[in-house]
Amino acid sequence: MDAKEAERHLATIRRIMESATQITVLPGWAAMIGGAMALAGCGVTYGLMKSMDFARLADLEPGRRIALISLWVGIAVVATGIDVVMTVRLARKKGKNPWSRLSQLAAFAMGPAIGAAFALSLALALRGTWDLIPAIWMLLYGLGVWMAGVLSVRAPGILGLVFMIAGVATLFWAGPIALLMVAVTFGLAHIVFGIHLIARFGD
Amino acid sequence: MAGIPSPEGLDKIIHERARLGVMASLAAGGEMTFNELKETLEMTDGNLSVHARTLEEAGYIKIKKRFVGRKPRTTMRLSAKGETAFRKYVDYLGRIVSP
Repeated sequence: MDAKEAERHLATIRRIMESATQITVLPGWAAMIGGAMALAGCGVTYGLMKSMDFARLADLEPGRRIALISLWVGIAVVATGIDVVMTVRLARKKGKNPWSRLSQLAAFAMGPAIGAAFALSLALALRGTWDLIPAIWMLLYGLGVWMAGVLSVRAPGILGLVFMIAGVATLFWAGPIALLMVAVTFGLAHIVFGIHLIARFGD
Repeated sequence: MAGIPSPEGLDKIIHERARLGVMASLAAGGEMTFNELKETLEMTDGNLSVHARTLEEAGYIKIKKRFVGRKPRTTMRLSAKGETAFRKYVDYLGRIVSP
């Protein structure tokens, strides 16, 4: 075998390996439900803060502030739970191992980013610097999704990129409308992502 | 010629195009169903069955057959021996390209 033939074989291997990762177990319905929950959360948040700027959280009475924090933690936990349950269900339906090597790598990509977002949010909340928290979540959640997307179909990578761009924009310019940015990313972008998955993969 | 691997080092079981496709798919996709492999590699049922059996006999892949509801489902994944053989094969190609 000469170098040219070996190169052709390597190119074939690369192409096939990319195709094999296209068959995936991303539950579109879970993304849509998560997005709808985030939109509802944004509505409740606006009702309590009467503003799009998370800096206003500092002016709220402690009871309302705790209610809002609990609401978002609850949304994150429930949305993650729904995602896990639906991923397992979809994997079983397709006869795949829900805890496959690809799923493990995706979890390893998401885990540190989410952990860092929690730690930073807690540190900022304890200092009363509420306005930076939405941008940090967009950036780090986006980074996790983007990293996980490297191992999957193209859509998660694009979703991650959208979150990161929105995170940078919120960090530097869009702080006063951060709630709108949360609605656009965690709400609408997830719903569009879910619709795309359902249209493309049928689940 | 120093550094160029000898042809004896080439794994002839993996070197066949269709079997290389099966090995590469399973290396990337983990456990895959028969239909997913068929779709990925654009192979016929008969062709995939023959090559999968050859790879199973070589100990490179593990084939599991079971029923999901009333439908039979065949899944395949690389064995530890298969993972090593595939890695060696890719290394071998790499050494030919960059001796």
